[in-house]
Amino acid sequence: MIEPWSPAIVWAATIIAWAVIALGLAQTTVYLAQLLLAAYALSKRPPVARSALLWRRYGEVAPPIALIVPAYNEEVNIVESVHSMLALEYPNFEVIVVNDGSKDATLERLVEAFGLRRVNRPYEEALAHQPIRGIYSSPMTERLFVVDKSNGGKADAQNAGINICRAPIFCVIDGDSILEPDALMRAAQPFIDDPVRVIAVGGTIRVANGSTIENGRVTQIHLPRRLLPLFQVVEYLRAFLMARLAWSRINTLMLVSGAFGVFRRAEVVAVGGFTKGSLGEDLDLIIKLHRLMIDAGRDYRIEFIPEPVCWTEAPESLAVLSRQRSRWQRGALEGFFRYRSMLFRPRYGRIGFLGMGHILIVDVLGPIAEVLGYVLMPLFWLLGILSWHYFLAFTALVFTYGIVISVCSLILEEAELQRFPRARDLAILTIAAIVENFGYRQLNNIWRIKGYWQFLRQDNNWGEMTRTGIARKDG
Amino acid sequence: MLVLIWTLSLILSAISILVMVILVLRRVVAARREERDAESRRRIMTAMICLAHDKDVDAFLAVAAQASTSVTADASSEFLGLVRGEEREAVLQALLRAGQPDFLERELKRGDEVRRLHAVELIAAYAPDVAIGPLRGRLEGDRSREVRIAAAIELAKIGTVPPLGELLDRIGYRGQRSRRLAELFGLLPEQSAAELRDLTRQRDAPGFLRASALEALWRRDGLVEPSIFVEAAEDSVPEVAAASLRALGRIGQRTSLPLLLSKLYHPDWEVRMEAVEAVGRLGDPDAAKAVTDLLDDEQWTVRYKAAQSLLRLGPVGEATLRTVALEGTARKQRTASLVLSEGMPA
Amino acid sequence: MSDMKTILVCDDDPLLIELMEFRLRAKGFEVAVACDGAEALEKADEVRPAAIVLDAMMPRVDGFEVLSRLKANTALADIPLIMLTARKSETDIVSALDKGADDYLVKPFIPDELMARLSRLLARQKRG
Repeated sequence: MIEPWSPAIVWAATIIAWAVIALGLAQTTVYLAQLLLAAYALSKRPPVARSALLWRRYGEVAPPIALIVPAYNEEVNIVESVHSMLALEYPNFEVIVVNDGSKDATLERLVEAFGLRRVNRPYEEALAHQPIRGIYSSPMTERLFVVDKSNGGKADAQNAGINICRAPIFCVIDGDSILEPDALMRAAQPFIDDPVRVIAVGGTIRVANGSTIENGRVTQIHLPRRLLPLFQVVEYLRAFLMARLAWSRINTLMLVSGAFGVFRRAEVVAVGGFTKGSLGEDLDLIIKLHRLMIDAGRDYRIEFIPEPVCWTEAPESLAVLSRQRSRWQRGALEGFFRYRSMLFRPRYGRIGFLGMGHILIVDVLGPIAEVLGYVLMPLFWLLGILSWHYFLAFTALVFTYGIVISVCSLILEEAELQRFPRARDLAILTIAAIVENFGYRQLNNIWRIKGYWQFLRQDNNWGEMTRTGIARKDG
Repeated sequence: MLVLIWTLSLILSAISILVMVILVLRRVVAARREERDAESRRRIMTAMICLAHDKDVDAFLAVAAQASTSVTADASSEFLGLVRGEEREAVLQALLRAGQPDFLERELKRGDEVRRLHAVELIAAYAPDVAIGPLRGRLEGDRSREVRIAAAIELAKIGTVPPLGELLDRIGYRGQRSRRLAELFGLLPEQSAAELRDLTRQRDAPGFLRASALEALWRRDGLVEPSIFVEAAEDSVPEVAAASLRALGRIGQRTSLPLLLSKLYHPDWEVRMEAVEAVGRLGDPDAAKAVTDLLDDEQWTVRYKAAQSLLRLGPVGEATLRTVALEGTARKQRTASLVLSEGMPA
Repeated sequence: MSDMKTILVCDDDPLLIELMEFRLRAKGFEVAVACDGAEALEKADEVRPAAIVLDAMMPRVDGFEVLSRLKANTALADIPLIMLTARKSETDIVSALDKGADDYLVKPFIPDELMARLSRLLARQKRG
């Protein structure tokens, strides 16, 4: 060392640097482990068939499913979405639209389009929610029920839907989710293969931006033309194909996305349904389910199916994306701290150690360590406090391993699923998987820190979601 | 250590990018082949449609000779899934001459799990003398339980399955959790009734499996004496007891009423629910009093089924329900009035 | 303007459409095709077919709803209609017949049988 830094400062810097690197290493290890597990899970997964075959194979034994669709101010799309949901390919299902006190004409549009009439339908008041103003059915189809209730938020609306549904299994989706026609058939497969143990199933969600959407169905898969959603395509692949699949393999899946999740009703009712006023109510529910089943000493599975079942519209503007990501971060923190007593508790076994542990590393400590690293590592090096080896190791952890993990998620997708139609798309995605580590990843971390800050200040507003971008082509 | 992190990361990323490039190239090649296959698939489909109508086998074989056997297999799967009867037989005859069964047998031996499963379902369409051998082979020796279950189901459809005990052993313990076994039980030939009956008595078998056997038995009525269900109603596994009560309700013998009534206070709510529903199906007005008590059950589903059952007990039941709706305790009253108004415009 | 009868085939499966086109043309019918439920409703109104063959599971609007809407429209309610679908549950069949379907065939089906049922419906229509 040429610079006259006192040993105390050098010591402190070394400790900080090692802490940051150790966390980076831990995170990278988690990711690499996920990658290996996901590859193993894909090689072992149950056979996937075309949907016509699925129908022939499982049509006889498919259990009834209720599709619960919360709707708040969706007058623009609601009729079209309900039409496409009624047209899903599944032998035995009903669609329950819950109008969560919309201020616009959501209910009126539905009444008009389906000739809805108010009916009496007895239901179990198993979960608490805002009062129901009326239940409607349609003379045109027995599969549709519309519930009109006072506003209470998404979780509240979903709880009302769970009360009203009579099927033993229900599926929750977002109002703007676009389902694949065979989504229910695929999601039902784990419930058919292992009806006693399976209590929840998640499915892959993909970014719809850029694809052609006709009347509530994705008809042609294209990559988004803009950079921000393109990065999100890679991100979603990483999150679903790698992370979720890996965790489900060892039955430690901690999150079934609120945009598409299928649950057994009895267990969800037993844990009190969705927690109201929580940002990450999907994460919250799964942790509750794990806790219930482990406390009760029951053998259970929470499964994940790698085939894409649902498409969602990703934010295209920085402002909206930033709000979404801060909200996700707050949701993760909330879930983690609400159930922190499960962390490293031997009673909760793999959920306490691996499940909660990886949330701790990736969501709770990860963003802080990384942002700290961005500031301190170059500083230490430039000021001559530490050798450039520290700096290099940190860069490697952030950038190069980042590339490895993103590209490997793509490799998994191409080796096993091949859902992107053209070779050109693959090439573009490969480049995106490399480039996203320079800039986008850092932005993401800043948003997460923002979420952290909001969490600490308990500022739990919903980020306003403005809808943009999907090329709708109506006939 | 620090240097190691750095160099390892470079090596790994180089490898991953290289693999990705190879995959992209592979995709370019695959895309060309797919286009070709799609074209010949269309031609095969058209040829099959003509063949089914005018029975001109030679014209079909000429088209099939142009296409690869796997494309033909794929196209035939769709056609066979859509059409049945004499025309399907004509197409199968032609496919036989085009050498399809040999191709499918190769697939059964060498394909991956998805292809084997598909081939099992396809080969089952051919005449029993072609299909049974390979299907048995799969049931006995396939690595995947999905394939073994599929082979068992296809064999059951043809009507030649090994004894039930052997069948379950072949499928294996893990496969015995699948809902598809319920389908398999439903397809078993009549001779298997005795074996299914024995299975319902096997206390060490999974409850789910025994319940499925009970269901398969009542669905084809007259296969076994109702006494088997009476016996199973006393089973300590709630799933089995519930399945037997459901069966008794569907069979609808008046003599089982006392037994059903005795189960209305079973500790397991699913048993109570099946019992009260079965009582409703028997339709004996004398049961109205006992059913009314369940309008106060702690489980909503039981309360709901109790009210529905009352409605099935004829005028007496309905009158009882109306009285409760006016005078009963809070919970009873609410259930009764809700069910009375069900489906009515509000 | 020909006096040939037009049959409207509504299905999203290209194989079925090709099969039906082939069969119906062989019998001397004109064929109109709709690949989804909304198109089925439009075509029915536009073409005024002599009969309709309707699938249940189609994009946009499902077959049962198409059936309800057709039967609710006085101008189209009298067109004979056959459901041809992979749905084979009792509830589905009863519900379709309740809504006014004239016949219900389950896939896999026998093409000759469908043709026979269609001719019978058309003959009855002529008499009635």
